[in-house]
Amino acid sequence: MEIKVLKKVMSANDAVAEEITGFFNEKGVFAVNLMGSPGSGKTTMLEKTIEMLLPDYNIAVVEGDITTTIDAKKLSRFPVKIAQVNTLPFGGECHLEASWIKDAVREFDLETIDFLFIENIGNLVCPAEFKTGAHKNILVLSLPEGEDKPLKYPLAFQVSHLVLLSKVDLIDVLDYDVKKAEENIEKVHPGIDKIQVSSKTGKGIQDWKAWLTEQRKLLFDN
Amino acid sequence: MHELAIAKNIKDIVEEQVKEHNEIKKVERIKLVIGNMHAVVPESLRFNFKLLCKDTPFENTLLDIKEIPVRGECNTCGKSFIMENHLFICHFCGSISISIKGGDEFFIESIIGEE
Repeated sequence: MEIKVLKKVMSANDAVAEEITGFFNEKGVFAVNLMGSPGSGKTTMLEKTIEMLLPDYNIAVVEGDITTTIDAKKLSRFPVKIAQVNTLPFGGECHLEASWIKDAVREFDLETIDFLFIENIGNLVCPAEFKTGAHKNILVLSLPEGEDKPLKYPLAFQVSHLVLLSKVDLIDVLDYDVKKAEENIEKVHPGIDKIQVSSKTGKGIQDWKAWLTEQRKLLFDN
Repeated sequence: MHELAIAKNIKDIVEEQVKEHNEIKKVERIKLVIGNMHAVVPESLRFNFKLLCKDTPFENTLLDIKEIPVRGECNTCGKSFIMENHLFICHFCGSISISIKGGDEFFIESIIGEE
């Protein structure tokens, strides 16, 4: 006999993600999911982001890694709340699932937080399939990865709202074709926002701040 | 490699269904529909599902996977086409204004079992 199921495979994760977004909305927390390859500069970009937002906002971070607390330790010099999620006990998964984020944010008093950054596990494939409950997905694409990555990992770009083209201080060293990279991003996600940034020189950091604060304002100040 | 996590989700849903429909004694097949927008490798999913279900009632359950190509419709010339490699470019007029008309599916259609 055949039983009709018609149930989304990711429905359990999607439901928890939706629930988390509900908490965030209620408490006025603007949540951002940072995705990108290992070594794309997510943590360094997060350090810069925290530095520029701290004077005006309260920040919390969920650090996702398969193992180690290296990234959380790097951020511990800031007065921000940090929760580490290691996926090794869950089978070493290469993405964060909504239920783990839900558990992690229980450690925070969401009422006091303006921005929550979720640093997903370094990977361009798996995190794209699992909603985190964040309001916006940011893809950090660093120059050394090459101009072709949007074409090779289209889903990660399609689910993102902004691409931070990072390490742009290396343009000359790498003979990088920014135009081509941006064209490739457009081919898989037409019209997506893009900002060129460098944690080293500070290029684009103010534009990134403006993007974040504007998006937060759009969500909560109306 | 997220196929293991996906396999777990499938197993959870099917277990729930089997509980609800207790007339099913053994699940022979799970019919899945996966749009190519998702980066799921069917072979890897089958492998992980088998691994996960070892020594369970789903040990011999087969995953019957129907893949759906990503279909785009051009907002400029109105023609529709299969979007190979997920590129938002019309095959007919070159426009990049494309609406997705399929390929984002990812659900369990049905389970087939012995009564």
